[in-house]
Amino acid sequence: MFKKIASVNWVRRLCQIASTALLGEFAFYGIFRCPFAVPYVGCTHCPVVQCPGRKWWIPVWIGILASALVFGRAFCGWACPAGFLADLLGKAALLKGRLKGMADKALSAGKYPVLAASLIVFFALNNPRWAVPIRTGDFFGSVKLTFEHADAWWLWRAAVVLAAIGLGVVVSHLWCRYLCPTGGLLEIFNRFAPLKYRMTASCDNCDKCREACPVESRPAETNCNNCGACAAVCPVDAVQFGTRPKARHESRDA
Amino acid sequence: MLTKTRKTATPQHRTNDRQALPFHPCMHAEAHETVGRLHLPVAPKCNIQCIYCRRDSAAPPDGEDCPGVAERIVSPCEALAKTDRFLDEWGADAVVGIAGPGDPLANPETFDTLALVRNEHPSVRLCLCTNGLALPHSIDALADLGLRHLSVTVNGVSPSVVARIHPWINEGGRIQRGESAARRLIENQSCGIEAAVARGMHVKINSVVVPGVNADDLEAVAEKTAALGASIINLMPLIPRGHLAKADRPSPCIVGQLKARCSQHLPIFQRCKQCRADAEGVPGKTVCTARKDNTGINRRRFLKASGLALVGALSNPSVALAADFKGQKLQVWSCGGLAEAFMPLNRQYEEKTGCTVSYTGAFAAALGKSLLGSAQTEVFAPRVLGLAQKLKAQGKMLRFWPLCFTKYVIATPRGNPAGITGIDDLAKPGVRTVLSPKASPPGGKAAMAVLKKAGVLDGAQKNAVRKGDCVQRDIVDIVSGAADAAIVELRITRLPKVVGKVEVIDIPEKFIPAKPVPFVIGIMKWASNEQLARNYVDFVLSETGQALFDAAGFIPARSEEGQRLVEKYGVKDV
Repeated sequence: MFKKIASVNWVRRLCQIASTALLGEFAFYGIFRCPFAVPYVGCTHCPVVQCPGRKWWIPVWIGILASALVFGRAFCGWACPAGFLADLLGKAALLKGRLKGMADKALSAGKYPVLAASLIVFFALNNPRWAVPIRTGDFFGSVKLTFEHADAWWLWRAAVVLAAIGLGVVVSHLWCRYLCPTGGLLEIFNRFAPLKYRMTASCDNCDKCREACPVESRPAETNCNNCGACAAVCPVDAVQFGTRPKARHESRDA
Repeated sequence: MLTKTRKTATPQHRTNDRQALPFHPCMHAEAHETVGRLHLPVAPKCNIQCIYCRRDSAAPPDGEDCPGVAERIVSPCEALAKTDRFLDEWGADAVVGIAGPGDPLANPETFDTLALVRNEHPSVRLCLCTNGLALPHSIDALADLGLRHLSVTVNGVSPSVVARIHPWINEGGRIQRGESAARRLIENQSCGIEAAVARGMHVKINSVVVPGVNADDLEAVAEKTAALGASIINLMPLIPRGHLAKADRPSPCIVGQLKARCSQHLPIFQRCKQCRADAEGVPGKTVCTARKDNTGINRRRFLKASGLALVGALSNPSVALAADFKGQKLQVWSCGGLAEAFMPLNRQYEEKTGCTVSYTGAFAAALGKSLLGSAQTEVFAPRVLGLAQKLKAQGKMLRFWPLCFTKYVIATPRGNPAGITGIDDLAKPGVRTVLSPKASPPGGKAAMAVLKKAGVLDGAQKNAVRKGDCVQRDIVDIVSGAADAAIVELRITRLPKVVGKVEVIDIPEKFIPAKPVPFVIGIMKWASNEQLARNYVDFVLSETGQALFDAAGFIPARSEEGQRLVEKYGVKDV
């Protein structure tokens, strides 16, 4: 059992580290340097020449959406650099397990208005520019200049995103669970994704999985990102990965 | 789709039809000695393997002298800058071509470069060398670019021979080998040559003489290509390289016999020197002796005279040797628009001196605001003369020099579908414009001011398909054809993703607002090593440095046109 936890964690951590090495810079630019209201999309002709997203945004989104079609929110738990950071911050979460039930459910729906707002701003308002693009510059100097010359809207965006990510040390994965628009988009896919961790009928609601879960969810429920931490801790072995819960459990318990 | 008309055209008919040989250095003996030719090394990739070839994109200029090698690959923009300088020196009848180092048609940069050169030099003679594999696909694009001269390498007519010389071909990413691949290559060559001739191009056939492999096939090559309408054939004795590095060069005797046999079908070009993919000028002559007089101001002719009054830094050359700056660091800020010039420039400067340039390029007004506040940098290249003067008045900028000027143009999609001829057309009903009133002032406000001065602001606004806030996104609408015209700086049309994909139309200077046009470069009081800062400015204002601004779409201060603008806008450090 212990071995199983270790191996899943191991592989997942390696994935997160590799992905952060690849996408981390792009992720960073989106928050700290992107002059547009909605970052990470439509980057091809961005004036910020240093941002790797100019080349990578299309393949990255193809990858994310392809993974979502099959594995739902797996990107969040396995590859998102912010998700990785949230994992690390969440280890120290002060209010671990305190937001649950209806409160958690209601807050989780917060992702959808953020997603809707992002889509409206991007498509209907043509993704306005909210900051002066620092086209190229040294790492910290450019961030400083970006903040110095940004519009109020941009500063609000940055403040909210950074605060939400930072508050991950209070409420585990606050940003990912309640506000991230990408998370909201993938959540929709999550419902229909064929391959995911699922609860079988042998589950007796002990909630051990929720305690082990970085996003305080349960298999195939809201915010589950297929990390697999639950599978290792389930005392009755009721967590299965696959296209559907295994028939033998169903038939036996039915 | 190309149809095969080959069978209906008799060789006799074609021979009589053949036009007189063009006055091209690689087709005409006299032109060979007098007309300059420039090979632009923009095409590194190849779609075919030739056993005699070893491509090399880093061959020293005094090293190997044969096709398939170049000192380095240049971008389409650099190629244009090269062309500008070359045509200045060699005159308007010089030929500008692309000959590799790979196959030009296997590189999109080839088309970008040709479009760019064509746009800037509407009457220049363009030329291209290819193995012919991609010719049927590309011929219409080449014809549209007004390319009239083509060299096609044909090394055999029988698949078994061709398969030995070209072990594989790559069509659309699919590698094919053996005789079926050879058949495909032969077919595309024939089809392509015929299509080129049908579009009025002069086609030269290049054949590499590989003794023991294709010697017996070459007469048939001459006969067949003559029937297809080729104008001349060039038999090139093998230069032992690649897989044939250990082979012998064919004896002059064999080559002579082959020439005699081929000459029954096609004229032979006798002077070929088998040039590199970055050859320049006339073979054997390093400097132009037949310089053509160019009257009028040419904005690109660089002023070579040293000690120009305006370039103070150069008239008082820094005494320190470049090596002294090794390991040192220099902080440079510039207007973001100049980033495409400063980035390659900084790389070159770092290579040259071993120092590190920490560079920031962003909207100059924002940087200026920071500098007028508490920020610091060592060298600053702002747009808007007033900003430099303000910084100088505060004692923060020690000294500045004219750097370059921007140029506002009308950008249209390739082929100019709305038939725009001048700024008035932007207000015409049915013309779709794209404007960016909310972009940073040099892109947004200035363009609006141009329209206003030209008296077409209202009309152009009514015609706007989108009013955005970023000129780099506006240009995307022009590239895609979603809009017919936009007023942009020439530099925007030189961005890597745009270059060659738009056409530009000049705007009369009287409509251009003065403020955003001049750029200067100044040394700030925080320069920790003033010698280094001066040396850097020297480099920026050197011919090498200024050429990069030219390539990025600016008018360098150190050009005749630049000098005129220095006077006009009063760009002086007083």
